[in-house]
Amino acid sequence: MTSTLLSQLSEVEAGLDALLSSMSYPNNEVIRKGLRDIIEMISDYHEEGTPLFPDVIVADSVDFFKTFNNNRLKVAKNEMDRGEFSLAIKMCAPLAVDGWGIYFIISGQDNSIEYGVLTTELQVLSLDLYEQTMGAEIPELNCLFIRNVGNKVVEVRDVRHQFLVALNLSDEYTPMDETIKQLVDIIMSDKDDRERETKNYLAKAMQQTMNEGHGNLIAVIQEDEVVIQSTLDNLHGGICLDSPIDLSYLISDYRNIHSEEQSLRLRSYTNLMKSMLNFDGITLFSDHGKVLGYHFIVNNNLVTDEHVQGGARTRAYLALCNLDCIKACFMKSQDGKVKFHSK
Amino acid sequence: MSTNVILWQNPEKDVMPTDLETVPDVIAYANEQYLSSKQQNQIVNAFNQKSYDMSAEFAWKKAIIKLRKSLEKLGVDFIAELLGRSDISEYTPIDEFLTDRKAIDLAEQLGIIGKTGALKLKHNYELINHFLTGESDEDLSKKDAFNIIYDSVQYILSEQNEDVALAFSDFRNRLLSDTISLQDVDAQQILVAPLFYIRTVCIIMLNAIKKDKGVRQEHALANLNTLIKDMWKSLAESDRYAIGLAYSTVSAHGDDLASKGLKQALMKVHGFDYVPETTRSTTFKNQAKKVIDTHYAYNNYYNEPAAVRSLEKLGSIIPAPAFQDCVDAYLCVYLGNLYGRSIEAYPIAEKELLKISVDRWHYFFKDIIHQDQYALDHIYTENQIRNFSELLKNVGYTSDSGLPKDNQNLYNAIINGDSEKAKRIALILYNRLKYAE
Repeated sequence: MTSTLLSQLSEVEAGLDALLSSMSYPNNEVIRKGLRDIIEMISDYHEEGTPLFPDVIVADSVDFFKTFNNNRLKVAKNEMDRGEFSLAIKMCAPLAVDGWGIYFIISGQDNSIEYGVLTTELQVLSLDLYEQTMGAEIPELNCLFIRNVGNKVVEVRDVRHQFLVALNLSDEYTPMDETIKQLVDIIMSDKDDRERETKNYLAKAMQQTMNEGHGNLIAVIQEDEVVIQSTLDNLHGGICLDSPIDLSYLISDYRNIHSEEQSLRLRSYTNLMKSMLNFDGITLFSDHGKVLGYHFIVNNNLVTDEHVQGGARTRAYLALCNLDCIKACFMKSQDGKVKFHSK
Repeated sequence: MSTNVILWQNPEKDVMPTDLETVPDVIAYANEQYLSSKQQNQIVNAFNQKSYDMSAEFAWKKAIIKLRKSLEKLGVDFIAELLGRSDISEYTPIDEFLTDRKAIDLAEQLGIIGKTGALKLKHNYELINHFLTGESDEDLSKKDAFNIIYDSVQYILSEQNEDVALAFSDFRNRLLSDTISLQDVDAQQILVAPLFYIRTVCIIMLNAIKKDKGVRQEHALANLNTLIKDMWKSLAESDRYAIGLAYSTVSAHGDDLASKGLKQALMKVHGFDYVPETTRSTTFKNQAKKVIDTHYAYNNYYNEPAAVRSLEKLGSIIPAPAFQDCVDAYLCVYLGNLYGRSIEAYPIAEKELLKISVDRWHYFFKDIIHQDQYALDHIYTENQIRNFSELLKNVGYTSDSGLPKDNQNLYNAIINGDSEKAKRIALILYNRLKYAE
């Protein structure tokens, strides 16, 4: 019997070569192999059974880190060696949570590799690492960004070029960050572009939540008494909050007063929202930026297709899609697949 | 602004005769809109009854009220921008935040008053402050009172030229409502203007980027990106840090559009050295501004100790973006004004100034002082220059030959105690900030 090895190695290496050529060390075998190891590791990284999703930024000079606000903690600096890349992930990934990411400074000149963790979160509304580096769209600022975008798909990019490595053998991919932005636009329908900071904050919080959890199901409805009641008639088992968590208000309160009390209040309620999102069941949002309730179950008789493939969460998602009162619904499954529907 | 008005040319003005000898003769030149017949009579009567302080102070107060009204026409938010006060809204009464001294500075900056008039009014202000706060052991003399009344009428209470201020206000509106190209006449004028005008344009754009949203913010970002390469070489260190700090602030506040626009602008001038690592410098800058405002306000000797202690409490490790503001604040208190300094406050300032290393003093004299209006404003009296010289010697900064020419001459004059030369050079550098040569 003959067997054939099917590998994406050559495509990945070609992609890396194209990106590395714009940095100061093209054709460096050690760096290419080291980055391959990082891609493979973070596609499905676990620590003590907990999945981790560290963002990784690779620069060729410490000057790069002057171009945006960040706090860095160096973990090690050693001579360049392939093994250092995977060691860095092992040592830093458990630290790269709550706004921290992993950085590498790889110097072709002195053949050294430095790594550690960094955060761009100087204040509660600060733009995250991805937005501050890739979002600026400045080609002269050479760096690579590597991150898990869900379902064992790893994004590798610089400002101009990007490729995705899908280690799940799927030919379908729904970008989670783009989908979350669409979801947030609907949750904050009453906010225009002048409230960008509010939307950016909620998107950042949701992204972190999706990374941490085992699957999520979100529904958005119009903030209207009749609509809310109609929705609740089709849901059961959950908690409808007497005082919805008004994230819009908490964010604008912090922006106006800018005190430690407002900052802590915003963080506390955001953490509460994250916990609700990671709790089983449906989390219900209004389109005015409020969390209305959590842990709901939808009546599955609303799913009309008998041949639906998938578990309870998928069936619940499809049921929500069929409800007239739902403006949008979002689902992330345990294995990382993302679905989104809006009307 | 595309008129024949050139912003930084001294305003031409009908000058009162220089041989007027009596207060009634002087008062006759006051515009009745600003000083009614009844008020004119009150000033004359008080002067004739030898109540010189009452007469002078009344004339002064009316003059300052008129000056504030002129500035208010430009818009409170514009005035707040020029003062660097983000806490002021369009509804804040102007007399709550615009001190007498600041009003004179702004009027000079905007061309409402020329440089001679500004100089005289600033001296009169210090005189009034000195006598009003009871620091003096004499009464205000007839001669001093007459001069105060004369200058108040000459430069404020008679007719004023507000064309320049209005033209500048129009340009400000254009910056935030149009996208300007480098070939634009207004842009070309600004790029060759003295530092004060370039700085003001920068402040206008940065404030809109930080506070506004939508079209105004977009125009401000686009115009900053257009102008920054040509503006950059003319900007002082403090102005460059202001851009870096604005970038830091908008990123910390989650404004992705502003962050991207400012980052692109900084990229054009390789200006990332001016981006602070944290926003801690904002706290230092704000407190330093309060010290300077207190120094230039009434009763400053009494109020300075509390203000300078609050700055001292923030610590001696001054973040780079706030370095100039803090040094300015401490120098203002330590060097004092024409009549002396606060006995309680100046030792606190001195203690902090002595902690600044020789390297940082070298940086101050090399890159900052020639464009530092506050430092230059305090190199004037013999006492101020002698105290400055003593301070530098106590720090150990006793010789330096690696400075640009004018800065070197100024440094040498201060260290050698040559007060006349130091004063002369400081004045030349100060005028260069505001006026074309």
